[in-house]
Order: sequence, then structure tokens, then C-alpha cells
Amino acid sequence: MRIRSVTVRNYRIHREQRIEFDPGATLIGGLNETGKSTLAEAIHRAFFLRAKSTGGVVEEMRSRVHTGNPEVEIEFEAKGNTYRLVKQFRGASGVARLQEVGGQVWNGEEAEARLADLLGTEEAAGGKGAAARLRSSWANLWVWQGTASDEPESYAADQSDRLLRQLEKLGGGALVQSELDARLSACFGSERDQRFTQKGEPRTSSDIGDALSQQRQTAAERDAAASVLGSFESDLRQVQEADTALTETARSLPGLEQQQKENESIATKLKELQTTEILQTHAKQTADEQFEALQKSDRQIAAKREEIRKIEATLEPRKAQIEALRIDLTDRKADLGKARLELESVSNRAGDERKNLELFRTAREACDCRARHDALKAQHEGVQNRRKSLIDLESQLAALPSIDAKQIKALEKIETRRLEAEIALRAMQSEIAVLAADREVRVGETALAVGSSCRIADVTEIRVGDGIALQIRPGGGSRLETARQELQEATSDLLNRFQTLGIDTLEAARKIASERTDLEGRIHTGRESLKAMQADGIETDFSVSVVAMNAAEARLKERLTTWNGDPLPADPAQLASAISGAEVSAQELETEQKSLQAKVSGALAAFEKAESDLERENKAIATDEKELLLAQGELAGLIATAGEDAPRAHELAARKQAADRATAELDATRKSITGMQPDLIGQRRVQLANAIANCMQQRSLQEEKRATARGRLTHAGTTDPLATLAIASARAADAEAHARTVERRARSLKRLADLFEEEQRARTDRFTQPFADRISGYLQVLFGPEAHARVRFENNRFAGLGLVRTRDGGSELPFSALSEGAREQVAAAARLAMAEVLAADSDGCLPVLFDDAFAYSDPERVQTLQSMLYRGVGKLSLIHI
Amino acid sequence: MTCSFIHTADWQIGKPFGTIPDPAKRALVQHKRIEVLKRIAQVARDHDAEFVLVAGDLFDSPRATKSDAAALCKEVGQMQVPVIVIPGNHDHGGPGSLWEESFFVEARTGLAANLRVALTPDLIELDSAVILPCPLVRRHESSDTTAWIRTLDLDAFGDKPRIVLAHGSVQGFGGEGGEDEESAGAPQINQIDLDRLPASGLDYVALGDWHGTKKVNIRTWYAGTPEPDRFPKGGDYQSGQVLAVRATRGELPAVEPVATGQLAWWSDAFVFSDDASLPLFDTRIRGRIGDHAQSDLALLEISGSLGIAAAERLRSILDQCEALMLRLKLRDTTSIAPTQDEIDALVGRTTDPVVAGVAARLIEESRGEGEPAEIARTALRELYATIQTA
Repeated sequence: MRIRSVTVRNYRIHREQRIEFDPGATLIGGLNETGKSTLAEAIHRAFFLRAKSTGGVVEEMRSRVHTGNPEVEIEFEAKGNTYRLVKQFRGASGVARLQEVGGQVWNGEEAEARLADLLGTEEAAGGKGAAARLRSSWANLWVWQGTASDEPESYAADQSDRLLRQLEKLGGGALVQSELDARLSACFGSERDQRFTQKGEPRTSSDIGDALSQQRQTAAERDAAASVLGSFESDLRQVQEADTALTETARSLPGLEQQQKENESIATKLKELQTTEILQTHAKQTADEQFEALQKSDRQIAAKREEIRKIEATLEPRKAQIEALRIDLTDRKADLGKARLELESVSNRAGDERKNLELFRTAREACDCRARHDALKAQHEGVQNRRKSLIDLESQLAALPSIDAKQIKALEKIETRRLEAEIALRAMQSEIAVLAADREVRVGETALAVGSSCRIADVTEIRVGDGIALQIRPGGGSRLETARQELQEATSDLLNRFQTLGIDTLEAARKIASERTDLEGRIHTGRESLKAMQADGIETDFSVSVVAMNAAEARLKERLTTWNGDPLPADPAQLASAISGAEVSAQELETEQKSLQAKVSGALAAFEKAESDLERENKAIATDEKELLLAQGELAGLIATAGEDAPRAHELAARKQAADRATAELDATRKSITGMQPDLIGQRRVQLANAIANCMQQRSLQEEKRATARGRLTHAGTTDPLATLAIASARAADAEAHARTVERRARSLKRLADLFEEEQRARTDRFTQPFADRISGYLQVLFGPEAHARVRFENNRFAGLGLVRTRDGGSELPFSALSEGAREQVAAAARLAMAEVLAADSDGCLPVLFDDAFAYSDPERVQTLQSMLYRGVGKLSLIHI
Repeated sequence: MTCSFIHTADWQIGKPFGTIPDPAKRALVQHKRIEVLKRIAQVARDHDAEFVLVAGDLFDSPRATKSDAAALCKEVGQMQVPVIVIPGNHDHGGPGSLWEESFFVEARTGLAANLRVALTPDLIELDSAVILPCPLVRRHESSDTTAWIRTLDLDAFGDKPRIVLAHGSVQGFGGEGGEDEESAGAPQINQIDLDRLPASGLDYVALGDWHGTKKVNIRTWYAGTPEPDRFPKGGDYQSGQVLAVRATRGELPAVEPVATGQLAWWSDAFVFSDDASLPLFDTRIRGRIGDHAQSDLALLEISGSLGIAAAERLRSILDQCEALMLRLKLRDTTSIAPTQDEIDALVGRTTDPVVAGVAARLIEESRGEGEPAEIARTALRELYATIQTA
């Protein structure tokens, strides 16, 4: 079909607008908001919206600036005729009118129906959901603003059937599939989906699921029955095993008991022998003891005799030696006395000599002290004198009033001030001199004689005689008063100070000040010189020497009280020689004293030794004699007990014999015992006891085991586990076979469904190749000869579009991966190709409208885009907004 | 002295027949084994039997239920003459078995006073015979249960026929033919050494364990089971009988097999060479079933290959047969090989190109081996069937 013209009235911005369309391509241009897209909408709604529609979809068509209802008039060709359609949208009273030019007219519903028929679409939308359905009408042909880059699936899927039918026709009537094919495919597909999940797992709620679950269940029941039977058989086995074990026990027990009896009789015999052994051991012990006792006595007697002999041997020489020791002692004593006397005399003489020496030393000391004292005395007096004159000066200074230079300066300052004030005053004063006067001249109160003058500082009256009175005002004015005051102040101040200081004049002050200065200087000098001569040190040394001298003289005096010798040499030299002489002789005497002391010590030691030796020997002799007596006594005692020598020897031999006999008997008994292997008896006893105990334990265990199993085997005959298992096994085997059969069938249905789908896909691919080729044709205008389109159909519905560039190695770029601009262009190619195919069913032509479809495409592309678009001219009439 | 008695064995009361899936049919087959006891009683009356000997395996399990015990005792009670039995390997004595449990003792005393269970190897002296029972007190007995007879002083019994009652396998027989799969592999179990028995002092050896009637030697017989309980293995296997015996002291016994069984256990085999052989199979099977529906148990071995449609028909035939029988045990190794027409019908569908494509692929896959090929064949069948009904 082809649109020839459209006229819109009162449609939003348009008052009245008519467009005539070129059969090939029409370009509608204009500025934004001039209503271009509105035109696209108007045509679309005229075709696909019922005239009697109400609601928002109609209201939005209404013009706000123009009155009147929106109206669209379209002239179009379809099915070999030309038609004029007029629709006026005014809600429920909307009007539709279709006129076949030169022929029939249809109104209202009939018009809508006829229109749909001509367009080859469903009847126009109206009522609820109209807006949504509207969009889907001619969605592949009307490229609304903003939908240019939408995925082709969004509008192509709905057209899949039409496309395929057309492609079939293009392919010479060969079918993708027949109706039977489709039905069988759907049937097997549903059979498959009933039984299998998407992942190919059997569904639980399906025949295969049921069969598998039945299989599992029967297998479980069979296993349970087997387990019950197993328990029964196990109990049977237990009874059998217990029987076998009990038989064995019954067989072996008597043998063990017999062995035990035999072992015990051996044990008894052993016990008897052991008793004998004990008795014999006692007997032997007694015999041995007796023999040993006598033997011991015998030995003791011999030993005692020996002892006596030894003592006597030592005693004799000792006694002989005693006398010599006594003599030695007496000699030693005499030596000691002599040495002591000598020592005493020498010691006395040494003492005297020392006393002399001390006296001489003390005298010398006293001499030295006096000399030192005398030397220091002169110095000391000098210091004393200086100190005295210094004191004198200081008292003079104190007598003077304290007037220092500072004060003098202050006084001078005041004096100066006074003088200045006086001078100033004087300057201000006037002097009056009487040069000649024949009358009395009185200045103030004072009469002034001729040739004298006076000064006046104030206003003064001058009278000359009685008849002349003059007034003189000295210059200065107030300053005069100030100066006078100043003078007065200074004068009084000065006088005050004088008074305070106790002077009359400034000169006096100066004099005093200079005197003071002088005195101070002399005092300072005096102090300095005392310091230089270390006056303090001298005084200290002097007083020390006084003390020392006094002490030394006192000591000397004391020593002299015990001196009764020659008078002392006064001369220090003589004194010195006396001292050294005394020292020498004292030394000599001391040396002698020492050697005599040594001699005394030696004599003492020798004496003491001799004394102790004697004592020792005496003691030793006494001891020996005592021992001898004791030993002799003991010997007598031993012989008394053990008998005289001959009978004793006889008895000893007899006892030895008895002991030997007892030993022999005991050994024999022990040998017998060893021969019976007593350890083994004990071991065997234990082993046999264990074995018998085990046997009995085993017996009772097995009896219990048997009883328990036997108890379990007792039954009431309600079920037969063998039969139950047989039936359960048969059912499980059946269920398994059934499951195999069902599964095989299910898988065969799946195989069928899968194969059907594969076949359909392969056939669809073959049939849609021309469609893909057509799209490629358009694409190659844009992208060159290496560009190809690939289309995908799933279940006979368009499912996707991809782009292949052979230079990229044939890998397919899905539509969604392209850039926005590329998508616009590829989508346009797809729409054009699709429209081309569908056009065959529509008088060989269809309109395609692009509203702002290449917003994202490069301007350079425009040329090639145009070429692409125009490629379809003839089969398509393009409307490009 | 002569005595007349019935020798039977291997009643296997309580056998579960788990492989019969239908519970009603299973119960029927089980019940047949009780019913046969009535016929045994009739045979005993018909032959004036003085007593009945049952050589073991009265029950199928040592833990037979009290209801089975009661049913057995009731029927035994009806026999009225003494019924002397020993435990076999299935219903062996010993701990855990039913023979001494109170429920069995009550059933016996209440319903079958004539029933005598020899649980110990102690002779039973009757008026007209001496019975020497050799009971099994465990399932697998390694010693010879008849050994105690070897040292007996049989002369003490004078003129009375001496009859051994035992259960197990004998040398030269029973090792590989033993009923139990277990004893088949271990010939030392439950062995009876006939050669060591004092042949001159004995007049009849009544054996049980082998389910087919079998004469072992001049005086030794297996009675076989009175009601068949399995598919026959060999051609000369004869079961569903009891033996009516007349034994005389010092002479050979006279033994007459009497049929008592009702159910037919038969087997057959068929090979399908092509689709045309299917109707032949149908005729043959139906012929064998005949008009005695609900009383047959059959073992069918089928092999060969059929086309898809024929395979479906075979399935339906087998379903029908199974319904008519008590049990149909199938050993089915048939395979589906689509006929050329069938292939063309699928692959040559130009109007249904997808179907044709799918069918071609399936046919390719079905020529392979293993599970994927099986799945492909099943898929072909499903496809074919779905198209037929679409």
C-alpha cells in the first residue's frame, strides 16, 4: 500500500496542514517543534486508532490553540484502488469515513473494519489499553523518535509469522514446516518438558519420575525385607555357633579338671618335703651355733694369753727408764733460775737511762719555745702600735660632722641659686643715689645722705623733704617678687642645712669635707699596711707561742722534781750532745735485754718438757700394770667356763662332727624339692585355673548367646521373611524393569522433541537466509562488501540480529554490542529489508517512516545513509522526518 | 508283611510366587498347592492306603505362617490315616522353625491329630511297617542324615517292611539337578549315601527334594511335587504326581505314579523372521492356551525382528495372552527393524519435511549399537504411532 497525502486539521499545532507524498521518498524537514513528529502520529492514529476512542489518547491530540476537533484525512492506495479516509476524533462521537475513490463509501464501524482489511492488520485499537496496542501497530514500519536504535526483536518478533510466510513464498512455496510438523513438534516438546527439566533431569512429577521413585521405594522395601531375613539367618547362625562352641566346651572341660587334680597332688607332696626342710634347717642351725660358740671361746683364750705376754714385754723397759728422767728435770730447773736473775739487772739499768733521755729532750723543747716566743714578740708590738694610731684617726673622723662631697655640691648649688637670685634681684632693683640734696631724702623709711645710694626692690616712696614724694617702681614686676622669694628660699634653705650640719659657712663645710677626706685616706692606708704584714697571723702565732712556751716549761719543771743529778746544761748544743749520748746507751741496754729474754724463754721450755716427759712415763707404767691384772683375771674366767685345754679340744671336735651331719641331711632334702620343679606347679595351677575359668565363662556366654538367639527365633507365624523377601525382590525387579522401559520411552520422546527442534531450526535457517541476505544488501551500502547480517529465529519467532565482518574472521557481533550510531543504521537496514519482504503481500509496496532516525550517526555517513535508504525505493516509499 | 501307602513330598505350601505380578493370580496359584492335598486324600482312599509318607518340604520356608500351617493341618486331618512327615531343607527343623512353635502345635493337635512330625532320627513302628525318618534340622546339612540307620539292628523288626524317609540328593543324581540353586553348586550339602545303607534290611526308600517323579533304583524313588511349581527344564521332567506304593518285607516294592496336579506349566520358543510370521505366532500361542484360560503358566522365548507396526501388534498379542494366563514369563530379545514401506512412509513425507528429516536421523541412529540405538528405535515407534493417531 502507498500513502498519497495526508491532511491534518486542529491537530495540536496544526490548524490545517496538507502533505503530499512522493511515491519513492518524501523528506519532511523543519525546525524543532514545528509538528513534524505530530504528522507521523496523526497518520498512524488515523490508521490504527478508532475514531470513537476516548480518554487521554484523544485528548492529547486536541489542539490548544485551535478550536475544533482533531481531524485526519489520508489518501492512500491499497489492493489496486485509491481510498480516502477521514477520521474525526471527538471521543465517543468520533467519526470515521472511508471512501473508495470512484466507488463505495463506508462509515463508522464498517469503515474501521474495511480499513483494517485493506491494511492487512487487526482492527484498530480503542478503549482500554489502546495506547499500548497502538504502539505495536506497524511498529516495524514507523520508526518513532528515539526508537531508531531499538533491537529489531522488539518489533520484528510480532511479524515473524508473516515474514516466514513471505519467505516461504519467495522460496518457491517450500515450507519451513507443515502443520503436522508443527503439531508433532509441539506434542513431543510438551511430552519432553513434562518429563525433563531444562537441565535434562527427570522431573519428579512425571511418569519417569514416578517410575524412578517406585523403583527406589521397592528397592528399599526389598532391602528392608532382606535385612529382616538377614536377622533371622543371623540368629539361626548364632544358635548353631553356640551349639558348636558348647560341644567343644563339654569336650575339653573334663580333661582340664583331671590335669588340675594331678597338679594338686604333686603340690601336696611338695608341701611335705618343705616342712621337713624347715625342721632340718633348724637342727643344722643349732649344731652350727654350738660348735661356733665353743670355737670362739677357744680362740678367745689363746688371744688373751697373747695379750698378757705383750703387756709384760713393754712394762720392763719403761720402769728402767724412769730414774734418768728425774735427774734431767732437776738440771733444767737450775738453768732457768740463773737466766732470770741476769735479765732483771739489765732491765733496771735500761730504765734509768731512758729517764735521763726524756729529761734532756724536755729541756731542749722548752728552750726552743722561748726562742720562738721572743722572736714573735717584737713583731707583735709593732702590730699593736699601728692598730692604736688607726683607732686614733677613726675617732678624729667621728668627731667631724659628716659632710661629704655630695652634700657640698648640694650646698654649692643652693648658694649658687641664692647668688643668682640675689643678682637677679639686684638687677631688678633700682639704685637711688643722692647726688645732691638740700633736703632730706628719704627712701622709704630710710633717709639717704648725699653721696650714698640705696637699692630698692619694691615700689618705694621717695620723699624729698616734705614736699616731694616720688614713687619708684623698680622693673621686674612680678618677677621681682619671684626673685625675692627665690632668694629668701635659698637663703633659708642654706641656713637650715648649715644648722643641721653644725656649720656656719660653706667654706667651713668645704674645710670639714677636705679634712674628712684626708682622714679617710690615712685610715685606709693604715688598714692596708696592716693587711700587708698579716697582722692577724702574727697575733695568732704569738699567742700560740706563748701557750707552747708555758706548757714546755711546766713539763720541764715537773721532770726536774725527780732529778737529782747535775744541773742541766743550759746551752742547746750541750743539751743536744747529752741527748744523743743518752740515746746511744739506752739503745745498747735494750738490745741486751732482748737477748736475755730469749735465753729465759728457752730455759723455761726445756724445763717444762722434762716435767711432762716424766709425768707421761709414770702414767704409762700405771696403765700397763692395771691392764695386766685385768687380762689375767679374764683368762682365769674363760678357762673356768670353757674348760681346761684338753677336754675342751675334745668337745670341739665332737661338735664339728654334729654340725657337718646336719648340713648333709638338709642338702639332700633340698635337692629333692628342686627336683619337683615347684615353680612349674604354681604356673600350672594358675594356667589350669584360668583355662577352666575361661571354659566355664565361654560356656555360660554361649548358653546366653544361644538362649538370646533362640528367644528371638520364637515366633507367632504371622510373617514368613523368606516369602516376604521373595515378593519384595520380585516387585523391585519389576519396578526396575518398568523404570528402564519408562525411561527409555521418555528419552525417546526427548530425542524426538530435540530432533524436531533441530530440524526446524535448520530449515528455518535455510529459509531466513534470503532475509539475512537482504539485510546484508542494505548494510553493504554502509559498511562495504565484507559486511553480512545474521538473523536468528527461535520457535519460528525472530530472536535476534548480528553483524559479521568477514575481515574480523567471521565472528558475529551481536546487535547490542554495536555503537548507538551503528545500531541506528543496522536497525534501519533490518527494517527496510523486512518491509521489502512484507511488501510482497501488500501490493508490492509499504511505507516506511523514519522520524529523526539518525541522530547518532556521523554526518559523513549521511551520504551513504541516503544511498541505503534509496535502495529500497520502488518497494518502499520512504518518509523521512 | 505288605503295606500300602502314599509316598509324596515337596508340597512347598506358602511358596510366594513373587514373579506373578497380579496378586489375585498369585493367590490362586498359591492356593492350588493346598487344594492338591484334597486330591491326595482321594488317591489315598482310592488305593486303600494305610498311611501317607511326606518326604520333606511340606512348607516352602521354616517360617511358614500360621494360616498356611492351619490350612495344611486341616487338609491333612481330612486324610484320616496316619500322615508321617519329616522336615526337608526348605522347612528344616531346629531352632527358629515352625514345627515346635505353639501356633503349629495347636493347629496340629486341633486339626490334624493324625499328623506325626519326625523331628529326630528315631524309628516309628507302625502296625504294618517300620518307618526310619531322617529329618533335616538345618538348611545345609554336611553330614548324611541316614547314617544312623547303618548301625541299627533291623532284625528286631521281624517281618515288617522297613521304609526309609529322607530328603536330599543322592550320588549321581541331584548334584547338578538339585532343585535348589544353592545346593546345585555345593554337592556336599544334604547328601544321602544310598550305598552305605543296609540294602537287604530295607524295603523302600522314600525321597524328597527333586520335584519331578524319579526312580533312582529298584527301591528308591523321588515322589516329586504333587502340584507343579516351576517350568520344566528337561523333556522327561514329570511332576504333579504322587506315588502309590505297596511294600513287602524282603521283596521289591510296587510303585504306581498317580497324577494330582492341575496347573499347566509349559514353555515355548518362537523366532520372528519377518512381519508375516506374526500371525503364525498368534495362532500357535492361542492354540496352546486353548480354552483352559486362567490355569496356564507359560515361559516364552521370542527373538528375531519385526517392523514397527508388527512390533506394536506383537505387544498387543502378548498383552492379551498375559491376561488369559496365570503367568506369562517372557524372554524377549526381539528387535524392531522398520520395513521398507515404513521407512518410506516416514522419510518420504515431502509434505512434512521436518518429520521426514527427523525420521531419517532416527533410522540412521537405530542402526547403531547400545542404548542410543535402542532409544532411536523406541523413538521411531513413538513417531510412527503418534503419526497414525494424529
